[in-house]
Amino acid sequence: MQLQDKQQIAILSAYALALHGAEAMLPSPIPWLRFGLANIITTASLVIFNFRTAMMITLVRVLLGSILTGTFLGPAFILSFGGGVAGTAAMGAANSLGRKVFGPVGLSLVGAIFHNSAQLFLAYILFIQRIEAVLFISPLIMLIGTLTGFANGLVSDILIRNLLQKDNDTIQNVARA
Amino acid sequence: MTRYPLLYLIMLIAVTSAISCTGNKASTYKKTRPLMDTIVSITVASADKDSAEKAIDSALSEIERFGNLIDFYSDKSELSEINRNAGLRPVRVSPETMDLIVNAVAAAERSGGAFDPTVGVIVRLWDFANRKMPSDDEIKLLLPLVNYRDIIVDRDNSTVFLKRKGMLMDLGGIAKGYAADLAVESFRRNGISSGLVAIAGDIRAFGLKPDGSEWNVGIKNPRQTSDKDEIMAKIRLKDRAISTAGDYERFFILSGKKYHHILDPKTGYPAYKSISVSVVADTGALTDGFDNAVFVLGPEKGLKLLKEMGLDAVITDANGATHVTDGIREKLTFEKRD
Amino acid sequence: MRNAIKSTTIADRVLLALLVISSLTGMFYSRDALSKGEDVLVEINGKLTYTLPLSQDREITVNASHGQATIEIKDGRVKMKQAECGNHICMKQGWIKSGSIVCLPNGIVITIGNGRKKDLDAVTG
Repeated sequence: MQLQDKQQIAILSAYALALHGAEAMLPSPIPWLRFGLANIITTASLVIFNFRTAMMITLVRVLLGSILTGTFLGPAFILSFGGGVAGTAAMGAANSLGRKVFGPVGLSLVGAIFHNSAQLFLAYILFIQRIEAVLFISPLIMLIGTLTGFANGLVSDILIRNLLQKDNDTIQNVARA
Repeated sequence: MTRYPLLYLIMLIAVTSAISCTGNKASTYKKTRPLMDTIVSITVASADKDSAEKAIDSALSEIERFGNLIDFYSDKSELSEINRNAGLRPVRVSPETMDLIVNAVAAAERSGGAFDPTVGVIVRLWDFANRKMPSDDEIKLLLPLVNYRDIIVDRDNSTVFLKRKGMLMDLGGIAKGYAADLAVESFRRNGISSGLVAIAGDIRAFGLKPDGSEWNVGIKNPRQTSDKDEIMAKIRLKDRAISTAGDYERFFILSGKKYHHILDPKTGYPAYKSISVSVVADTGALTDGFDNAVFVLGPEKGLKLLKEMGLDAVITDANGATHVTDGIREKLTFEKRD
Repeated sequence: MRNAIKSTTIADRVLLALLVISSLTGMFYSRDALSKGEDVLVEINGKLTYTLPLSQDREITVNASHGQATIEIKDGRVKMKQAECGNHICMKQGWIKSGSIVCLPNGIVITIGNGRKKDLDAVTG
C-alpha cells in the first residue's frame, strides 16, 4: 500500500499543479477570481490520506507552480503561498474535529474562506494600505469563495468516492485472485 | 424546493435582504452655480436624485431672485432704486428686501455703528483691484453720509427712504447670509430635512448628514502660505450658520501698509484690530450681519457684543492670537501648526 | 452530484448558510461605507501618486509593478480602462462614483475621496 500511496500522492500533486496552471490560463470571460480548482485535490488528499500529505501537495503546487510560471518570490507567490498554507492548515484543523463533523464540502468551504482571508490580509499589509478598499472588496470575495468552495467541495466528494471505490475494486480483485 | 429546506432558507434570506436593503439609503447631492457675484454651492440629503435636484434648483432660484432684488451693481434692482432716490422719496420694496434692510439696520444699531450698510458711499472710493485709495479730504467730505440712522424704514407701507442726497446703501455685507436663510426655508417647503448652503464664505447648515454626523466646515487660515495650511480650524455645525470677515480677501499694500476692504464706518479707513472673524449663530442674517461688526470692533469690544447678542465667534486678532467663545469651543478643532 | 449534495453533513450546511448570509450582508453594508468625494485618489504601492478632480474628463496611464494601467475619468465616474495584471478583476468593476477599485497584482488603488479638503463639506473665510 505504501508504494501505491506514494504513487497516488505524486499523481495527485501533478494533477494539482496542472489544475492550478490550467486555471491560470483560463481566459477572462469568466470574471472575478480563480475557482481554486487545485483545492479539489487538496480536499481529496486530506480526506483520503492525512493532513501532512495534503500540506505537502499544497506546498509542491505553490512552489513548483510559481517557479514554472516565473513568479517565484514575487507578490503573486506570496499571496498564493500564504493563502494555500492558511487554507490547508485550517482544513486540517477542521478535519481533526472528527470525520463525521465536516464532509468534503465543509472542508472545502473552510479552506476557501481561510485561503481568501489570508490573501486579503497579506494584500492589505503588503500592498494596499487602505483598509477601506480591502474591507470594501472583502464581502464580494468571500461570497465568491463560498460559492466556489461549495462547488469544489462537491467535486471533491465525487472524486473521493471514485478514488476510494477504485481502491475497493482493487482489493476485491486481489482477494478473488 | 422543500426537499432541500436549508437551501430554500438561504435563498429566502438572501432575496429578502436584497430587496429590503437597496432602498431607503439617503445620500447627499451637490450642485454649484454662480449667483450673487460669487459661487453658490448647495448640498442636500435625499433618498433619491430627483427630489434632491428639485429642491436644490428651487433653492437656487430663490437665491437668484433675491440676488436680483438687492444687487448693488444692477440698475434694475430694488436697492439701486432706493439709492437713486436718496434724499428724494421713499421707495416701495418687496418683503424680502424690507426684511433684509430691517435686519441690517438692527445689526447697525446693536453694534453701535461698527456695521453700517450706508458705508457704501465710501467703499466706492476704494479700488482694490487697481490699488487706488481716496484722499483724507474725499473721505472727510462723504463721512457725514454714512449714518444708518438716516435709513428710514416704513414697515406699514413697505417703503425705504434714504434721508440725505448722495447716500448709498450697500447690502453686500449681510445679503449672502440672508440668502442662505431663504434657501433653507425653501428646503423646508420642499420636504428636505438636511442640507448645507454655501454662498462664498457664508454658510448655513441644516439638519444632520445622512450618517447622523454634523456638517464639517473649515475656517480659512488668514495667513495661509501654501496648499497645506489653507485651513485654520474645523467646526462641526448642526442647524447653525457661519460667516467670516477677513482682511485677506480684497486688499492692496501701499508703502508697507495693508489696505483691505472691511472699512470702519466711523473713519472710512480699514479696521486693524482683527485679521479674521468668523461668527456662528442660528441664522445667516445674524452671522453675516455681525461678522464685519465684530471685526471692526476688535476682540475686546467684539466679544462683549457677542455676549450681549448671544452669538459665538472665532476671532483672530491683529497679533495672530485666537479668541473663541464658549458656545462653540467643543465644536472646534484647530489644525496643528508645525 | 445528487449523492454528493445529499451526503453533506449538518456542519457543512450550517457553514454554507452562515457564509452566504454573512458575505451577502457584508456586501450591503460595504456599499454604505463607500468613500465619497470629488477627487480621484490614485495610490501605487501604498503611496498617493495622483489626485485628480472627478469633474474633469481625462485618461491617464500609470506605471506599476506588473506593467502599465490606464485610468479613465468621465462624466463624474472612474474606471480602470486597461491593466496588465492576471485576472483583470479591477477592470471588471466598471465605473465607480464612490468607494475604490483595487488592482492587486499592480498594487494600484483608485479611491473616490477628497484630496485636499479633508472631509470638509464647505469652507468659510
